[in-house]
Amino acid sequence: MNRRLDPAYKTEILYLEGRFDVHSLIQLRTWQPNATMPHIILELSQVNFVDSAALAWMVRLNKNVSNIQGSLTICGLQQPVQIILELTRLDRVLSLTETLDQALAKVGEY
Amino acid sequence: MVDIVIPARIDLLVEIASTVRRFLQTLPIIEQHPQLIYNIELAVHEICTNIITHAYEFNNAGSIAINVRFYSLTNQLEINIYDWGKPFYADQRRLPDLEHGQEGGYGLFIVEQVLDSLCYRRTATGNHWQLIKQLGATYEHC
Repeated sequence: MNRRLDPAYKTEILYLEGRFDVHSLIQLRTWQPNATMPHIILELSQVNFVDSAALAWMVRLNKNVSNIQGSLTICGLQQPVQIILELTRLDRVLSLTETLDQALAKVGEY
Repeated sequence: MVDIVIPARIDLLVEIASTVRRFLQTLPIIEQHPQLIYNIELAVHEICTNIITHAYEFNNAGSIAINVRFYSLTNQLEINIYDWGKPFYADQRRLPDLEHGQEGGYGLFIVEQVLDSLCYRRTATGNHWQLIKQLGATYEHC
């Protein structure tokens, strides 16, 4: 996982790659959103596999950032992953964009 | 056909997934359908995750046996997954709230959505999950 801070947007961008699942979530255990960077963008264009544990983590993160007046935007979903989000209807609950630029523009609206 | 027995550990889920994927990619009926391969790989991953987290409660001492076979006459994929951990209780299962989004309960829901059949039975010594996916048309002999 790589991270980039964008202070102008009070945004932290997390770049994930490969499998985003119950095993890879271990590396995110120590990471928490904070009030100084309450807007989170998950950049998943290099993620080729998402499981239910990752879906649950994203739902939990979405609630956590709402509690600190922030937001979660997920961008760059590969089609098989997008379809799983549609299957679980999380595409209606989570904020999704195709590109990182669109995600940043969305953050700018908050 | 694929037969594997593997330690029930979270870090080995990727090995299970890649073994299943490699087998699926040898099937002409499915090799050009990446979404189908993804869905089946995800279904096996979810069942194995449940086994590791619930049947074995992360004790790293159990094992999982997986048998994957394709019946070309009926175009049916059958995956049998066995473990020797605690039983699964369907009545304790949490169902996802699809309207509001909740933090769990998606695993078995996804499996049921992407397969044609999911069966569970408790055996004398453990658990048996059977996953069935129809990969193409079936032809009845007249």
